[in-house]
Amino acid sequence: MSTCVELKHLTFSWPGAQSPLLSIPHLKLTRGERVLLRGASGSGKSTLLSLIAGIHTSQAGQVQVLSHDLATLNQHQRDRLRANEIGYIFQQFNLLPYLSALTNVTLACQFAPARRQRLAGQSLVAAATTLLDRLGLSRSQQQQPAHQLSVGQQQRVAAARALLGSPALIIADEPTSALDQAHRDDFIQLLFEACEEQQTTLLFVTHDATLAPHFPRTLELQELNQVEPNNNV
Amino acid sequence: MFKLALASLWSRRGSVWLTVLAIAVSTLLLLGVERIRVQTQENFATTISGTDLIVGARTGSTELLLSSVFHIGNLSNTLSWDSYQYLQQLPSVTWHIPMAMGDSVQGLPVIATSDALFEHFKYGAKQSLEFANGANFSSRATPTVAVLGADAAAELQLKVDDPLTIAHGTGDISFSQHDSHPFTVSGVLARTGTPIDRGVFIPLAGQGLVHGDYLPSDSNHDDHDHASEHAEPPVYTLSAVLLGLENRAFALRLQRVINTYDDEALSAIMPGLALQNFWRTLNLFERALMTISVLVVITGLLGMLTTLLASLRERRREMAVLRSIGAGPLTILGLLVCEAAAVTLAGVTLGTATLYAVLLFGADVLQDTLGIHVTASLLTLREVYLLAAIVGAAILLSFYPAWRAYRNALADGLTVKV
Repeated sequence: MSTCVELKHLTFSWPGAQSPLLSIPHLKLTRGERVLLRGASGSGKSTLLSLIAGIHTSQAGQVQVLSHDLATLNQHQRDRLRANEIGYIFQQFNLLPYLSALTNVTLACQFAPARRQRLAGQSLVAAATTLLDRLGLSRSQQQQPAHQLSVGQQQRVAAARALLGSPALIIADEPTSALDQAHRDDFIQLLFEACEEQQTTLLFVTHDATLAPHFPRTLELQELNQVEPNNNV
Repeated sequence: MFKLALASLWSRRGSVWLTVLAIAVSTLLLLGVERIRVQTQENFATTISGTDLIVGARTGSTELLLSSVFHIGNLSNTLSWDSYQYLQQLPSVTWHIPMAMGDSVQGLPVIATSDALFEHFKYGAKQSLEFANGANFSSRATPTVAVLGADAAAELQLKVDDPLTIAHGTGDISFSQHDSHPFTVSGVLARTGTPIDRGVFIPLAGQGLVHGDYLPSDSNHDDHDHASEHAEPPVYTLSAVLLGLENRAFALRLQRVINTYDDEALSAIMPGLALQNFWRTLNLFERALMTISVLVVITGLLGMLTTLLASLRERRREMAVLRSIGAGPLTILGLLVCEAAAVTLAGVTLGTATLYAVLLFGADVLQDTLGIHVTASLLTLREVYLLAAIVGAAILLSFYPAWRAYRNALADGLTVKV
C-alpha cells in the first residue's frame, strides 16, 4: 500500500507562542485508509489539518503528501497540490451561499486541472450531477442556492465537492458535529462508500469518541502529540 | 474568476447597488461639469463673431469687452460723435455699429444703436440676428421705437406694438423715469443664447430725444448733453463702436492707427483675443468646479472602499472555503480587485448613460431654465480619459481591501472563528 500522508518529527508553534503546539514524531496514513483522529477542542486538531493541507508550514520536521515534501514546495505549488489532491470538508458553512449546490461542487475543479482529468471523459457538470444524485440530492435541490438547503444537505454537497475528481485524500474537520445522530450516521456511511469506490484516504477529525466504532483505525491526538499538555497556552 | 466575483456581488446586491449608484452620480457630475465647462467656453467664445475691432474711449480691454459685448458694467469714458465719424472713414472699414449704453428697463440694459446692428452683428458660427416678430427701427417713422431681445421680451412681457418706458441709469429703481417718451416695440429678436437676448435696443435718435428732453439736476450726467437742441448728431457721445473690416488682416494695423489717434484717446480691441484673455481670468472658477467634482468622485470611490472593507469581515468564511478548494491568496486578491472593477465599470456606465439621457431629453429644459446650451455629442478624448481615470483609481484603491483579504487568507487559513 502506498503512503498517502507521512509526518516525521513535526513540530509547530504559532508565531509568538512560547512553546510548540504540536510535536509529532511520526504519523503515516496509507492510501485508501479510513482514519479517525480524535482530540479535545483546542488540542491542535485543526492546526494539524492545515499543516497537512499545506495552508501553514511547520517550523521543523517533514510533512509529506503523496511523497511531496510540503516544505520544498512554494505557496502556489502547495495551493495547487491541495486543489488537486485534497478534498476538505468543514464543520459547517462549507458552501458559497450565493452559488447553486451544483456550481459549488464544480467550483472545486476550477482550480484543479488534475481532478478534471480524472473525470474520465465525463463533463464536469455531468460528473457533479451523478455524484450529487448518489448522495441523495434531487435535481431541483441541486439547482437551488446553497443557503436554501438544510445543514444535512449542505454537508452532502460539501462531501460531493470534496470527492469530485477523486482526490487522494479527504480531510473532514468535524463534518458531522452540526448534524443529528441519524443524519450523522447516514453521512458517514455515504462518505465511506464514496471513498472506498475512489480509493481515497479519509482523515476524519472529531472530538466525539462515539464515532470510533465506525472506523477501522482511530488515533488519539493526545497520544500522538509529544508536547506536554500543560505547556500549552 | 470574474464570474465568481459577479456571483458574489449579486448575492450582496443591496449594498452593491448603492455603491454603483454613488459612483454613477459622481461620474455624472464629473462628466456634466466637464460638458458644461467646454460648452460654456464655446458659447462664450462665440458671443461675438465677424466683428474685427471694438473701439471705445481709452480703457482696459476687458472693461470695453464686458460693456460692449456682455452689457455688463458702465464705461465711465465715452467717445465723441466726431471720433465715430473719423472711424467710419478709415480705410477698409465696411460696416460700423455705434453703441451707447447706460440706461436700463427693469434691470435690463438699454443699448442705443442703429439698424446696422441687425444687419451686421454676428454671433456663434457667423449667424446674423433674426427677428422672431416685427422689424427693425426704420420700419417705424418715429425714433421712439425699441427692439427687444428674446429674454427681454419674455421678462417684460411685451410684444410688438406694446408701449415701453425707458429709465435713465442702470438701476432697477431710477430717480428719473422718462415717462414723457413712451417707446413702442417694433420687433422682437429670435433667441441667440448670447447677451443680446437680454438687451433692449433703441435707435440713437431715441436716446438723444430722451436725454435732451430731460435735464438732470446733479452733475453725474454731464456726458448726456441736450442732443435735440443741436440739430445734427442724435447723441454727442457713444460708449463703443463695433467695426467690420474688408479684410481681417487689416485689423492689427488699424488697431494701432486708432490707438494713436491724436484728437481723442481711443482704444481698439480685437474681440477674439480679448475674449480669450478674459476667459483665462475665469479659469479659477472653472478649476474650482472641476475640483469639486473630482472630490465627489473621490467620495464615491471611498464609499466603494468602505463597502468592500466592511464586507471582508463577513466574507472571511467565503475566503476560507475558496482557500480550501485550492484558491491561492493571489486568487482572492484578484477576486476583490475584479469586484471593485466590476462595480466601478457598472457605476461609470450608468453615470454616462444617465448623462446622455439628460442631454437627449433634458437639453431643452436646461437651455430654458439655466441658459446652458448642451448637445449630446460623442465622448471626447478628454472625457474618455476622465472615465478611465475613475476606473483606474478604483482598481488602485481596491488593492487595499484586496491586500487585507490576502493577509486574512494567509493568517486564517482554513480555521475561521466567526
